[in-house]
Amino acid sequence: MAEDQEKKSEDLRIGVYVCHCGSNIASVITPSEVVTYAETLPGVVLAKEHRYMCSDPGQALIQQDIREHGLTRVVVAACSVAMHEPTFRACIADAGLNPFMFEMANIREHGSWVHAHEKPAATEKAKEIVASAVAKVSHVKPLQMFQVPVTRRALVIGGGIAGISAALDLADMEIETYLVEKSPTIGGRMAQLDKTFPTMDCSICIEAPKMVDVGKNRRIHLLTYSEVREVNGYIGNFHVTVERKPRYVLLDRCTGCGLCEEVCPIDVPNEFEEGLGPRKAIYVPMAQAVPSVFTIDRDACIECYKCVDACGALEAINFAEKPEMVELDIGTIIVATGYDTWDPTAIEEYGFGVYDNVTTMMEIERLHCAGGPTVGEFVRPSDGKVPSSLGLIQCVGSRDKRYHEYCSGFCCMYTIKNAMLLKWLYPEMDITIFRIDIRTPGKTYEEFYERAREAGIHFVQGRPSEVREDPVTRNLIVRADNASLGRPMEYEFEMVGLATAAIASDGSEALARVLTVPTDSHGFFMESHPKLKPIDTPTEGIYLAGSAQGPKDIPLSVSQGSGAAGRAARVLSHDTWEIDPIVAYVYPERCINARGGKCDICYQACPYGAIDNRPGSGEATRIIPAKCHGCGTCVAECPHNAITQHHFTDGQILAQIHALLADRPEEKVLAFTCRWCSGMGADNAGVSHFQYPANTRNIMVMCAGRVDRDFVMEAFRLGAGAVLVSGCHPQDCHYIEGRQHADVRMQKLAVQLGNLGVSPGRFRVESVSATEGAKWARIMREMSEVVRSLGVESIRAENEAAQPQLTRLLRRMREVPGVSEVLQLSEAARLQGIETPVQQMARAAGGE
Amino acid sequence: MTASYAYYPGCSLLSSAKEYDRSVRAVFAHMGLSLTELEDWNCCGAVHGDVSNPDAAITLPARSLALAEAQGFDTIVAPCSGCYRNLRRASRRVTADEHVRAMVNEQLREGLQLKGDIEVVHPLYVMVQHVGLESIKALVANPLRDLKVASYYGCMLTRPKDVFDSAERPTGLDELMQALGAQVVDYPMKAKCCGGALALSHGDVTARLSGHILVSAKNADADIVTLACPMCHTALDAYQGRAAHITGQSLGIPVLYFTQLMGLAFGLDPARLGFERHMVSPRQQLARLGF
Amino acid sequence: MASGGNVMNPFLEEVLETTGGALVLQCYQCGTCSGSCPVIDEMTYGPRRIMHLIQAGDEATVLSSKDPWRCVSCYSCANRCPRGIEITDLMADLRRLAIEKGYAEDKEAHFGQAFAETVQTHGRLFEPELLARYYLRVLDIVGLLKMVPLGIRMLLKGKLPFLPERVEHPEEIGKMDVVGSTTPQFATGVSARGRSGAKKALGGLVGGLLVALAANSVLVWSRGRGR
Repeated sequence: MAEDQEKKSEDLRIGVYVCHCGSNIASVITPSEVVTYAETLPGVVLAKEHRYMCSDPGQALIQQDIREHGLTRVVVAACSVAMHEPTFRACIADAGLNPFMFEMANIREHGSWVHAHEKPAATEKAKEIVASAVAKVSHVKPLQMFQVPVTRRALVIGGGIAGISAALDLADMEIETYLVEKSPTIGGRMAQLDKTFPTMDCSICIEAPKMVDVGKNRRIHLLTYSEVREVNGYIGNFHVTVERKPRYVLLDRCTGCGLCEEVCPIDVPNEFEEGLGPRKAIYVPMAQAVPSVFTIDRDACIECYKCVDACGALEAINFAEKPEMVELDIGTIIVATGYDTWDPTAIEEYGFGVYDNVTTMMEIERLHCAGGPTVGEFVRPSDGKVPSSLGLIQCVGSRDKRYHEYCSGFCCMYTIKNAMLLKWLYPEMDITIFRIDIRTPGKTYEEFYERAREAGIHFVQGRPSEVREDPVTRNLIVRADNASLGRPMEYEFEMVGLATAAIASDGSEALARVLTVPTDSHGFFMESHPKLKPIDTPTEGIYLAGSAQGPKDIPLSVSQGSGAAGRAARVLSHDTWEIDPIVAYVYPERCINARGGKCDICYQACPYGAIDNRPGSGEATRIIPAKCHGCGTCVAECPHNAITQHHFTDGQILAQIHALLADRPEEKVLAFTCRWCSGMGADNAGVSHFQYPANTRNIMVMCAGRVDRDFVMEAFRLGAGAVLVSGCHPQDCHYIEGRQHADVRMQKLAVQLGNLGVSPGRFRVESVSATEGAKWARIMREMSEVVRSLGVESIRAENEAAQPQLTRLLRRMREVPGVSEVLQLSEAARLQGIETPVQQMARAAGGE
Repeated sequence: MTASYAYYPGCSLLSSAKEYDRSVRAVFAHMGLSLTELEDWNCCGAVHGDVSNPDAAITLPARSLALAEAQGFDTIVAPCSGCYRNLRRASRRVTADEHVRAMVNEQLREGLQLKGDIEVVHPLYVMVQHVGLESIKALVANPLRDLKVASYYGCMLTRPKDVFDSAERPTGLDELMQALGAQVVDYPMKAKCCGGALALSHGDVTARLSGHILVSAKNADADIVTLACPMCHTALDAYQGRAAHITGQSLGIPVLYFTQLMGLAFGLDPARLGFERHMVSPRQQLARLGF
Repeated sequence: MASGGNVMNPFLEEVLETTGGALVLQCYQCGTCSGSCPVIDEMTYGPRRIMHLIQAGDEATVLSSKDPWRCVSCYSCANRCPRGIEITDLMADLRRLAIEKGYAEDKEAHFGQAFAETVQTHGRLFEPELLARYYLRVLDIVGLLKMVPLGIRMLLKGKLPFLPERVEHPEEIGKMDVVGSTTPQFATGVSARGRSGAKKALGGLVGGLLVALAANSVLVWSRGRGR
């Protein structure tokens, strides 16, 4: 049979390769069975298995077969698209094929890892996944990458140590760099710290020279007291709008002399000192500020204009200053917006905000810093006395399901550092650290912890349950269950410090939306891949540095800053950059505007302004490829089926639907997922080994916005048990609004399907983020349960009742170019009684 | 405020805590708040409902909720903190989980169905949040000047954490006492447990826990303790003798329901408020106030 | 939570099935619960170690310990638990499991049972009956004698009722099965003969108390009339 089909089309010479992934796949799925099956599929000329397809010998095998057997298309059944699609595209391109003549069949994250206890069913599923990939690859067309010009300029958002490191490295590579900082000075959190662990260097002493370097560097354009408001465009060609907030002090005139500050009558708490010390309404946050220029806090200012007089002939003060919008053309962007510290008032039992002598660790930092509000005299807030005893509490709001579930990472070390420092300054001070665990994973960090023990700092294993104040002495009684002693103990301290959680910095969410970069479930910016692309975001050309991605200490922030500079420069070192050609395309003859229509549905659906639409002009609508991000929302929205998306055509997707529903469709749950959140969420379920039933099948498109109503209706017409459309959470959509368009479309469809008698639960629309593997598995379990509990018979009855109406509604779909040939192939097989190989096997199995 | 409240007194208010029942009714009436005793209400299960049959811990209070719905109420007032917790928990569970709702409706007598949209409130928070402290101040005829009051919240009035008050540092009762003109004292034990649940099986535990609370209130120079739960009242009042014995301290602190103090401040007849029923007589303290 | 049944640890599986114990595997032994517990001194292990014993599957130690019976349901632990474990509800679930599996010996177990029986009968609580049922179950003469002075004072204050309050149709409550299917066994070393003797003595005492109660009620009633 395979030989007949081999002759059928010279062009269609498909090679299928099934990977064992060591035992990751082979311990659950039987690769030889999948190979034998694949050989029977139309167009497949050979099928092989290998222990590691991604290894050099594995790739060499493919390249050799392309040369020796004249393969024109390749399917690799292995892991996820995110993992190795680029690997194999490069592999076949090296052997002379167009890289798009390739399809990945994910039998690991969607197969062996999630169906570990259903081995035969997992093998059956793997076969169908391969059939689906073969069906798609049979219809793909060669595509050429687009070449876009690259603007050789970088933007770094955030002027902490990560952003500073990134900017300096970029400048060293002769790249013009804009550094945007929200506050009046660069320096970030590091500038607030006294010493740094584990070396005990003075923090500002080592950071200030770098800040000065930034200020002096002619390639770095510093935009302090500024915020990024708008970002348009794409890799190599971002257009960025930055708002410069008015300082009311002219940058080029102010010398930082400070005469204005001396006469200002207004005192307000200084944020830089965690509110422990005052500043004036006209202020620089700290002595080492860069730029060393004053700023007027107009919320505090009473407009007495004494500063204007003091400034005198310099005339640096201008109360009429207005916000200014700066427009920048940028090639790549680095996000380095750092972290904030959590306000522990919510943990009422610790009494922060109620008892004066309960402080945060950042306050303690400022209190023992020589540059701080007490000039390094460590005193407690209630009476200005140096405390003779100090209790430090770890994990305040971190590792806590009520607040922040993650470990903030660096608190153990900075708490130990503060304890060590105070022990140096005040050898008599009795210091106790309450901990659940102590985490010292960095280089020489464990040795530092050891030194702290040797220095006489006490460690108690027990998370305090409450802190009480003695109203007379203002001392604090900390009650904790001491695990070592096995009983609760009470400890009295003159002062207490809380190691509060490090949280996503204020404004991260808004910035994420401006950048269309996703955030994780904790609000930090999300990396493209946790291991292999920890610096990249899923949006090409935008990179992450420092705590913006998750809490990081200084060495890690500096490393990632330099790493991000490298990733950004990798693009900026080219004159042009290749981008995916999977953009939308309008068939001019099908667009009703070409016949004088006044339609603007696609234009309204496009979040990128990539559609050149002239309703009423008699001209067909056009897509501007460089602006199109390839979500496919316009394709699904077009009521005339006049738009297609390269590599995700209706025909290609329908071929997959038909392949996956060829056998026992009533028992199947068919899911359409986007490439990003939901696709990665499904992969995450695999990586996490969350188990769910093997009657589930996936088709991946770029965005839920691409999922046409016709796809869902066709699935039910073919007899599907249940259908899921899953995208990002609406606010996280990688294409801004694609997910929302899908939602509107699918909610209407849900009503319609309900009217046709499709039981509730058989069609669902969901949002799954890239970290919600557990949710994905749960949805799969729930939908499988719906299918199971309804039973094949009643599902079939429902589908049959709906079929005439569905067939009528789907009539228009057949006019779409490329669709009818797919449907003809599939229906011819059906009408002629030709069983697909899956059906043959099912029959054989049933007959036993 | 013309809301009509269903009144769920709970078992204790018919026996050991009649003075609470009387003062609640008297204060509500004086304030023009309609309070109608729920017909045929049943025991909420206290803390023992969970143990024998966990479903009963939901169905017992749910029956009373269903009765309130059937009798046309949308808010139910429960003055015992234990009842309050049980009714509120059942209401939550029934609203949140249709399986629980189905289980409950299965167990109810024919014709009685629970939809689950009934609000359960404690009379303290009717005062503090529905009525408001300003309106209460306006009703004060005899300000409780010079009376040093230790507000005692206990456990289930504020825990599991709810919307009405802080679970660790509650303030509602203190605010109410200040509105009545009393002086509130701060003491660390105001939201700690009195051990009332173990009063019969392990009375020494109850006496010890109550003792800590009373000693703490006494050290803060309180004249009296006020509270909002009959179980707590038994622990702090009836067990005060044993508490004094266990802690080795003389205590002698009267323990009054907040509604009794409201009644006094509003100028209601003290005889209607049941002061004679306490084990530790408040006569001396009341005399000082001029009653 | 746990995927599939863990045949190696049936007790853990059983606890995971309860409403309070669903998250018990989340416990990381920080001790917030034990530090918050007002009756920790009354317990043998305290909630932190109970969590660990459950994770380890040590059914006998957990269910025969007195700790669940000392829990006062104050929710201090659950309110502060950084893992969101419903420790207070879990303690109630452990009390139920201890009864079901025949471990329960604590007086509090019998009190709970007496309470449930009284409510089951009337739909509302009737304290004298509760007391009678309780003391007849536990045969705790010392405990009863300790209660006598307070009981009498409470009688005099009218804090104990004479007649039971009932719902209109107590069978409605009966249907809810407040008592549950099992009942705690009292497993002390008291011999059968000793027990029957004690029972008689107690019966007499309780009877006497009830008579006193009746007399008192009449007194209160007549005093009320005289006013």
